Amino acid sequence: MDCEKCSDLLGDFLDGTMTGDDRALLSTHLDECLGCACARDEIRSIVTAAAESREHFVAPPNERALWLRVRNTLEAELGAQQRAVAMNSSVGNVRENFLSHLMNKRWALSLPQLTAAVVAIVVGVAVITTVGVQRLTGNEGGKSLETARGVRNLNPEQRVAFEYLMQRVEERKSRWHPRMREAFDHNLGIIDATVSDSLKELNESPHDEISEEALNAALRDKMELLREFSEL
Amino acid sequence: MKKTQLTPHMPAVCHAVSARSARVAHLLVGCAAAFLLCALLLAPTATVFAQHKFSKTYPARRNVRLQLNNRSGEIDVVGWDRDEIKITADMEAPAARFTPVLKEDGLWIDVMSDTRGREDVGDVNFRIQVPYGSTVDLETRRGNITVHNIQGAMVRAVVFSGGDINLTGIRVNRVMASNISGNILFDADLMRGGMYELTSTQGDINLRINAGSGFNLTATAPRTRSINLGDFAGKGSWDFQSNNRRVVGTVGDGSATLNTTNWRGSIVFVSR
Repeated sequence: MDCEKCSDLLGDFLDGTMTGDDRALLSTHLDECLGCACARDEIRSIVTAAAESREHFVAPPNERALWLRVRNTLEAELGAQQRAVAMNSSVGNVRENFLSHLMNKRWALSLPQLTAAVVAIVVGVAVITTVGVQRLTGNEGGKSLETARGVRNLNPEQRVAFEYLMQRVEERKSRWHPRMREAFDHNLGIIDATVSDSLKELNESPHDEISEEALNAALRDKMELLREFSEL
Repeated sequence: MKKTQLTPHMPAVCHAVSARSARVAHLLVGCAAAFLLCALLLAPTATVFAQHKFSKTYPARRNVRLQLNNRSGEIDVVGWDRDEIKITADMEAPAARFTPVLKEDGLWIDVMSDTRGREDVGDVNFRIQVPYGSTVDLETRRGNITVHNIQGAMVRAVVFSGGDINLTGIRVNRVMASNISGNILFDADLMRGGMYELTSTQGDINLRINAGSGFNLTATAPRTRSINLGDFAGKGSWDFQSNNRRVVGTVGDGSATLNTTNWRGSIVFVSR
């Protein structure tokens, strides 16, 4: 018997399952071969130690839960390593990773889901377009074209000033002499008519300098009128 | 001597006479009280009536500045050949107050209410005489402004709402006149290097200018397109812009600058 055949049969020999001629041949070889005898002694000592310590390595009561905890721990450690790598990389790389992740992701939509997505996109685009067009043309909320264009020419501070002064005038108007009220109303009407005319012209010819001048002058006059009369 | 005899009726008669006397006395006392009350009530009224007119004269340099800020009413400023400013004012309401302040650089008048506020105090109509060489700066919320015979550095007349502005006999370097409604009459000699700006939103602007004047003109009347250059049409080179809504051109040496704008009215030139 050679050493290779001996190592194959050594397990059966130690388990005591080997009998007959084979066992005799193997015993003879172990007596003659010091290496195989050492291997036999090491395996036997391991088996003996394992048998003696058997009771100290009892399987956990929930073996599956244990493995889940182990896996979670491993995934957490792996995630921390990936985050550290991401922190070191640039924002562009992050976006690229996100996009590549998104692009590489496989999307599987059913026909109803696909239809619903298309309808949602169409409705969203329609709403955004409608709102945008209304803002551009000034028809939002029932406002007239002129008013919207007029407001466009006012900065927020001016708009606030107009509202404040108009409110102040309305509060005080009742105390004025009727002549003063009439003068204010009449001239405010003239200014507003000028604003309206200018806006109509600008609507037809958006780059008309004279209409732009008229509009700016009328708004300036209106501010002056309101400021002066709000003190009365 | 007849002795008065007392009858059983005498006490009643005496009582009636004394009662009548008492009523008369009460009546007299009542009349006196009513008189005193009327006197008390009328006393401040008399004072108020006294404040309805104002007239005062101030010494002034020939090139004095007059600054007037009115609420409502007529303003009439006339140049005269005296080194004095004379202010005459009629106040419609007793609440109107103004105290002219004479400073080193001129006379300042600011109309306000008796509570020192800027509430509506009714019309205050001014007539002010100033030296010819005065600078005149006038503002009002409502009412007409007339300036006549002024030859100082500047005339400024602003009506924040409606009112006519008449500037006649003017020989100054700087004129600014503006209103929202009401006409503007500008009868002046344009000075070399002078700047003249006349602006109305609605109302006619009439300019009477010396025929020999030289000026650069920008006249704008976008709503009516009514710009009548009169005799000056043949004296200058004109560029009618934006479908005749604006006229730009030069007359003579173009030494003065004249800008006039009427957003909803007409502009008419007359040479004199």
